[in-house]
Amino acid sequence: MSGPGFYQFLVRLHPRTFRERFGPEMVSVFDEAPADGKLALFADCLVSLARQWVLRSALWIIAVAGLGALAQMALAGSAWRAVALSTRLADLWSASRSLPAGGIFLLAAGILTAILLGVTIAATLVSRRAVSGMHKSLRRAGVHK
Amino acid sequence: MNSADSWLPLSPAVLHILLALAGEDRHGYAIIKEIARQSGGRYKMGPGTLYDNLDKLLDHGLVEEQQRRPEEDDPRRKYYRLTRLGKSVLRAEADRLDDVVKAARARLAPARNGG
Repeated sequence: MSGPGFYQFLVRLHPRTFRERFGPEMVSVFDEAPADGKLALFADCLVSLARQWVLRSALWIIAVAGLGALAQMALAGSAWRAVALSTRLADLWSASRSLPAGGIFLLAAGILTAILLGVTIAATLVSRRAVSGMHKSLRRAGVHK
Repeated sequence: MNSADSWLPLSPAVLHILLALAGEDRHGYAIIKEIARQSGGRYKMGPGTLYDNLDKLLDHGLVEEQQRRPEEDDPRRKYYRLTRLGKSVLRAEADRLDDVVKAARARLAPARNGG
């Protein structure tokens, strides 16, 4: 693949909205640049690719929200197991009448609820940012039509 | 705080882009060349940085695309111009930098006089 061809390929790897808005002009800048400056343009394009996908794209935010939801489900499963275990322990402790099992159960349930609440709030905030990013992309699409 | 002040302080990239467009409407490569000229060749902005910042500036209305273009120009080129808001932001940043320079000179003056 030739130098200009490889640069065009790198530009094509950018997110669609950015590529449609600036791709042709980026390639024209590459064409106009002096030969001794073209290597720096490849490096700049690679940095730009990472910046657009990692920092500017909403996709990674959706991935984080998905991971948050998975973590929440995993925590919920653990919580139910803990509840079941606590119940069994409570039965044992009630039978022995030697430990304040009810208090321990309430404390464990409270901590788990706080953790789940925190994860839910974090996932919601991240999701709101993702929706905002998608709205921005849609607005841009409208502008270009 | 007005809308221009909410942009301050500007990043070096945004400051140079606005400054490059303050004199005349330019296309991307002309902005890159003007920034290199303004900085005496010390700041070489790549297209990736330029268009990432132009993306934000266009979205926030500091810069707009100029529809008129010279005849027989490369059709891939787009011309950009500073909006009224863009000029206000650049003016506010220039005032801020002026204050910074004055403060720096005031603090350095006794040291210079004292040897």
